[in-house]
Amino acid sequence: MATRVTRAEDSRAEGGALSPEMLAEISRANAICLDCHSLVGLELRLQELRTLEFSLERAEELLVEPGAFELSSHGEMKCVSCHVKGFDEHPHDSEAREEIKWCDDCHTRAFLVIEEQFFDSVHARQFEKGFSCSTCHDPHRFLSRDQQPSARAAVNQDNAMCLTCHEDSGASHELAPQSRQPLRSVSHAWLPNPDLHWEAARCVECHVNAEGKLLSHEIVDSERAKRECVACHSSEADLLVRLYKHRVGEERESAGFMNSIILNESYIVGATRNQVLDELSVLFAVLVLSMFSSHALVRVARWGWRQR
Amino acid sequence: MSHGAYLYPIWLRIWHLVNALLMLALIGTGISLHFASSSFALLRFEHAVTVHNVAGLGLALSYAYFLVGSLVSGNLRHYIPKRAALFGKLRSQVWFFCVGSLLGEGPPHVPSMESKFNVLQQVTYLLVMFLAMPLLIGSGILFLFPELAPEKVMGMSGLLPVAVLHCVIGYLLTLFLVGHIYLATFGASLAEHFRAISTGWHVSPPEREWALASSRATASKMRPNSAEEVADEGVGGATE
Repeated sequence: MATRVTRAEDSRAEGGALSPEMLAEISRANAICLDCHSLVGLELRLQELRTLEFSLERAEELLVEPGAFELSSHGEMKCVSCHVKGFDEHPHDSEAREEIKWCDDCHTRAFLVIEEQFFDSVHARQFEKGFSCSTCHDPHRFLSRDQQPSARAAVNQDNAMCLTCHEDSGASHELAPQSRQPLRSVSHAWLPNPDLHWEAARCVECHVNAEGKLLSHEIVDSERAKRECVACHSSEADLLVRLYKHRVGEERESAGFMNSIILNESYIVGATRNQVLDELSVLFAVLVLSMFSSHALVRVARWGWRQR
Repeated sequence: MSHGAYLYPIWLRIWHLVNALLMLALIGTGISLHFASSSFALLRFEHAVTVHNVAGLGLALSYAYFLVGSLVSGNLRHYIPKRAALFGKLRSQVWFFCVGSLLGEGPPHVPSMESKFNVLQQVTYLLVMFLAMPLLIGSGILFLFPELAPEKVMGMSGLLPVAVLHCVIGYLLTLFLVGHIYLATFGASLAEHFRAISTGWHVSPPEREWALASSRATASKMRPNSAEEVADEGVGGATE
């Protein structure tokens, strides 16, 4: 089993796509797990789960949506790539959960930066325990921004992660039962067209402490969140290298400038201007002004001549 | 003796002044928003948004006021050019502005109560007030309430054509404003037309014989009331 995982990971490391044979093999292996961990599988085994004193909430945790998982960033991996020991028997070993791989086992290099950023975040400061990667990133569903079909899809997914806890009810959350959150609509009252912003931009575009333009895992609270409109509403918008980073390169090569990558998906005042149109309009304005100025000069000269 | 006509009643002058101030605010903030960057801003982005939105709503109201006023007072008829010899008249008006005025020729049209605008003004104002302004205000309102805009148009964001239309019309109206101000200096004196839109009275000074002489025949038919006659009738207003 471990050998097969290694082969798949090697294939990714070499930058190649998995072969159809490998994908079929992964699919076959995962089907065994999803036989129980799908909605149908769980329903069939509900009676059995009840005898094991499983609550329905607990049963929900065991659910993996096959369609969503396959489309996720981990969708081309075997379940046993992360669920390594004690999961090949049923019922699974009670200690098996402890053996599930941590994110940093694979994302090692990224973690050198992410971990440091996370420890400075409001989440790490607020919660000494209980807050982990999977609190936000559901490993069975999460699809990285670069793999999303559109920027809007990335915005929807990422904002949904935040809203899981920060919904606009003002209610407390299980991680912080004593605290009551301010209403989102109230704390963002300063933002023009807030609904439009939440559809088109991710919460983290403002709620991160980002040195430079790259996104950070140092999520910040409202006190430290950005209120710099031109960070997005300008031709050098941070959005270009965050939300649209994966498309900037191809855009530069094909069109020579970057604006139209957002132009096709959403209109952002200040950021989505057409540079050719801008240059032409400035040129035309200069021409018109020169015409009027020249005419005025001739008029003044003639007036002076008449005075003499 | 000076010849005058009360061309611009108070309601129209107030509208013109308010419209001019709002347009200046909208152009300034519009440029600031369009070319927003960390290094350039006529006004901070968030303040520019607020001023632009408020001034835009003001412009919509002021436009509605202009429409109602024009309908009620009959001002609307001044904007309709007569089709007879339209292009000939246009040509002679453009010739006057470009060349004739430099050669000392008189204007082909003298403003009067019957015909306030020359044919070039009529055509331009008709396009500006009854095509460009509704499109500008309509697209601005869609920007203010983006949920009213179509979500997608030909695979692009529905706001994109609205934005381009708003931007292009705003740009053209800015150029119109420059031309409007420059052409307003073509009176007998630089201040003649500016004084007229400030006081309501358009007065052709006696020294402008070259202007009056060339159009006296037409003007005498079209200008029933000289300033003195209007004053005698108790309409009020002083002439220079």
